[in-house]
Amino acid sequence: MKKIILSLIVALTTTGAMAQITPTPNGDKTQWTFGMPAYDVEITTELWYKLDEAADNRSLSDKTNVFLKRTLQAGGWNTFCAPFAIANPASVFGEGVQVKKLSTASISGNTLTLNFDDASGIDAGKPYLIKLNGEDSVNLAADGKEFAGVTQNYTAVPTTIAGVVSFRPVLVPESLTANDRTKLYLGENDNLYWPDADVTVHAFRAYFVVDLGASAAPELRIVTNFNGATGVAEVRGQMSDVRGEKFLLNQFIYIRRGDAIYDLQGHKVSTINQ
Amino acid sequence: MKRKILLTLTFMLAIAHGAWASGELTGKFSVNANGKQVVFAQGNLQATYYSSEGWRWAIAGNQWDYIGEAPGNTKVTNASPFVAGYEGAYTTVDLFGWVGASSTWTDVNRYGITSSTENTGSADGYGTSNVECLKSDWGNTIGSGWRTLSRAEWIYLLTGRENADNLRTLATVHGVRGLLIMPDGWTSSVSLTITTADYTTNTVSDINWTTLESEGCVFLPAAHRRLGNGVSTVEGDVYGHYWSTTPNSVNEGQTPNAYDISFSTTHGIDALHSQYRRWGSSVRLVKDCYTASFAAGNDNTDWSINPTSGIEGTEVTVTYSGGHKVKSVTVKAKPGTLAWLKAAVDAADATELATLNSTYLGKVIGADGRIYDTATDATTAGTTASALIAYLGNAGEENTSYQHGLAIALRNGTYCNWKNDKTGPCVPQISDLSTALTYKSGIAFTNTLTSDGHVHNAATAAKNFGATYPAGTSGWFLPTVGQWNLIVQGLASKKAGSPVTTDLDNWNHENPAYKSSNLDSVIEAVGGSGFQNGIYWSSTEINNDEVWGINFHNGWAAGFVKSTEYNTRAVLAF
Repeated sequence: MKKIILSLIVALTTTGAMAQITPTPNGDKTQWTFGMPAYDVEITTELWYKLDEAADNRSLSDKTNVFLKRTLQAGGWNTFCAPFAIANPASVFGEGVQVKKLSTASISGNTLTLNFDDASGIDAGKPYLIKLNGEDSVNLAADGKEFAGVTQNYTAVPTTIAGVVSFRPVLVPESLTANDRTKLYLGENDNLYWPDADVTVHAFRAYFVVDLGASAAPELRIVTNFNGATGVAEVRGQMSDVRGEKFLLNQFIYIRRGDAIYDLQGHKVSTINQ
Repeated sequence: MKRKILLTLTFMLAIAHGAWASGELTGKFSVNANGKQVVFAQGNLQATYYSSEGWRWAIAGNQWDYIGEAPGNTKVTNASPFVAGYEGAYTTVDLFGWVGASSTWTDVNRYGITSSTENTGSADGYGTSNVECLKSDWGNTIGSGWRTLSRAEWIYLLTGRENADNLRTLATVHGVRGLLIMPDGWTSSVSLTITTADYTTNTVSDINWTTLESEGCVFLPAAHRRLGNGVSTVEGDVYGHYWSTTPNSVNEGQTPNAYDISFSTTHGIDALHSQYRRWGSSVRLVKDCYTASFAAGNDNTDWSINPTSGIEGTEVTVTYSGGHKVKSVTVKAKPGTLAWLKAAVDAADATELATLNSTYLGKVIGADGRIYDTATDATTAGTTASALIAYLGNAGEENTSYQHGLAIALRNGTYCNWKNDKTGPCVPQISDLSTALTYKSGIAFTNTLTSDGHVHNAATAAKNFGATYPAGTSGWFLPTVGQWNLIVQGLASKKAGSPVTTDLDNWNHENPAYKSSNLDSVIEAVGGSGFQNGIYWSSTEINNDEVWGINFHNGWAAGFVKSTEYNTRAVLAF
C-alpha cells in the first residue's frame, strides 16, 4: 500500500532567543504553570511557612519567611508574643495600634496593680498587650501579613517583677492545670481568668503568673494602668470560677460567692441557677 | 523467541487533535542513559516541489504513509530543481540520500534529493570524509526543534533503554508492514507478540491502532530504498531503512557510508546497520524533550511537577499541596546548559565574567543545548558536539539576540575562495584593521553575502556548514575579522590560563599567542581539529579585490585576494 498524504506543512521557523520564564500562578498560588522552553530548567520554590498557634513550630525555627496563624480581636486587649522581632507593629496590626509592655507591678493588700508602658516594637520572645485601632480583627494568616527575613528564637523572655508577678510569653502551646489560681490569662471583655479546667494556651500569647500563692489569687483585685500617670486607660480584672462568669471592664468588680454574685459593697446582685 | 505481552493497564482515549496539529506524537522515548527523551513526528518526512515556491517540506499525515515507487520518488533527477516536468504531489519525495558536510552541494540535493548514484566519496556528491557530520540535518531545515536521531540514540532506543527488547516488534498497521516501537514504560490493553520473524503476527486492527497510537506508539513503515529514481520494493523481503545523523567511520579509506537502522524479516531489527549514502532512505524526525526539575537544595516537600519532561511549549504545572503558603516559584535554565550560561553572562559583573571565562572557555556546546568538557563527553551523552566556546561577553555580535558569546566549529568547513571574482563592494569595505576589528556583524554580513545573487563561496560554506547546533544559537556564519579577534583572544586565554587581550595585528607583526602552534591544542584537547597553519576567511571586506583573513602560521590578520582558495571555519553566536 502506498499513499501520499501531505497534511502538515511545517513552518520554516527557528527557536526564539532565550527568555526569562515567569510562571503564572492560580488564585491561591498553589499551582504555577509555564511553557517548557527549549532547554532544561530547574525550579526553585519559596514558602511562607505557617507558624500555627496550635502547634509546636520549633521544627520550623530555621525558616525565615513565615506567617502566624493567629487572629487578634478588635475592641479589647490581646496578649501577644512572637518568636521573632517586629520592628514596626503598625505595618502588621494597622495604624493606631497600641502595644504595651509590662513595666512595673505592685501588691497592696489584695490589690495587684500592673503598670504598662508603650512599646515601639516587639522583641522576639517577649510578652505584650496589643489593642487594635478600629473595629476589624486582624488575621495574621491573611495575605500580606507575612513576615520576611525573620530570625526565629524560641527562647521565652518573660517580664518578671520579682516577688509580684511574671508576664510569661507562650511560644509553644502550653498546658495550664485546672484551678491553678496563680495563672491568669486574659479572656473575654478583657477580664483575667484563672483556668477552671485543664486548658491549653495557644502560642503567640502570654499570661500572668502571680507570685502570691494560690490561696490569695481568688480574692485578688487587679488594677491595670497603662502609661503610668497619664492614665490613658484602666483595666480591671477578676478571676473567674469554674463556670467562668464574666466581669465587665471599667465598670464594677463583682465577686462570686457560692451560687450568688455580689458587688464590692456586699450587695447580692444575682443568683446562679445550677 | 516470541514473548507474549499481557497488557492490562488503562485503555486510554484517543489523543486530542490539538496534539496532531504540531506534528508530534505523544510517546516519549529515552535515547541515552542520562534520561534524554524525544518524541517522534507523526509521519515520515516528505518534500514536494512547487514551481512557484520551490521545495516544500512536510510530515506525512499518518504514521503508515509512504511513497514507495510511486511518483515522485521516481521523478527525482540529478539537476536543479531535481524533478523534471512534474508539479505538486507527483513530485513528493520521502526517500533521501545522506549528504556529508564536505559536500559542495548547496541546492536541495544537499538534503539528499537527487538521482545521483555515482557521487559517493566525492565533494561534488555525498561527501568525502568518513567522520564528517550530516551536511544539513533535515530537522534543522524544517526548524521548530525537529532533528534526526544519531546512531547512538537509535541504538539506545532500540536496545539500551529499560525493557527495550519488549518495546519494539515487526507489525502490520493499516495494511502496511513496518516497525512498531513502544514508548518508555508502555503498557496497554492491546496484546502484541514481540517478533522479528514476520510482519503478520501482529496485524493490528484499526481500533487497536487507535489505542496504540494514543498510547504514544511509533510505527515506521517499511518504505524500501531509492537508488537514483528507482525504488527497490523487493529485496527478497520488505525492508525499512531510517537514517541517523552519524557517518560510518569504521571503513577508513573506503567509500564513506552512514548509519541507519534497518528492519526486515530476514535480518530482524538492526540498530547497527550502515549503508551507502546514496541509498535514498526514510527519515523520521524527532523533537527533544526538555526536563523540569527542582533545584538542588530546594525543599521539595509537598511539591510536584507535571510533566517533568516535554517538548518546547509543553505546559508544565508546579503544584503545592502542603499547609503553608506559596511565596514564589522561580523557573530558570538549569546550570550546565547554554541557556543558563547566557543568563549568567547577562547577570555577571566584570569579576564574575572573568570567572565564567576561566571556567567555560574551551568547553563544548552540544546539540542538546548542554555544555560538555569534550566532544567525546557529548557523544557519550548521546548528542552531537556542535562547537567550542571561544568568547563570552556581550560584545561578540551586533545581533541583539546573540550577545552572550561566540563558539567556533570543531573542524574546518569547505576550502574555497571567498568569491568567484574580484568585484565589490559586497559588504562594508574597511581597509583599516583597527576599524575593521570593531565590526562584529558576522551574522548580517553572512546573510548579505549569501543572498545578494552573487557566488560567495566562503560565506555559503560557513552558513551551510551543517553540523547540528542547539536552539538559542544563531546558526552558522562566517565571522568578521573583529569576531576572529575575540575568538583568538579567547583561545589564547584558555591556553595561557589568564586573560589575553592583545588585538590582532596586521601582517608582518607576528603574535606567537595567536599562531596555530599555540592555539590548536585548545581545540584538539576537546576532540576538535586545529587551524593547522592555515589561512582562514573572515566576512570583512577590504576592497573589491581583498578580504580580511587570519594567518595562523604567523598569528596576524592580513588581506587576501577573494578569488584564492583558503579555509573556512564556521561560528555560532549565542
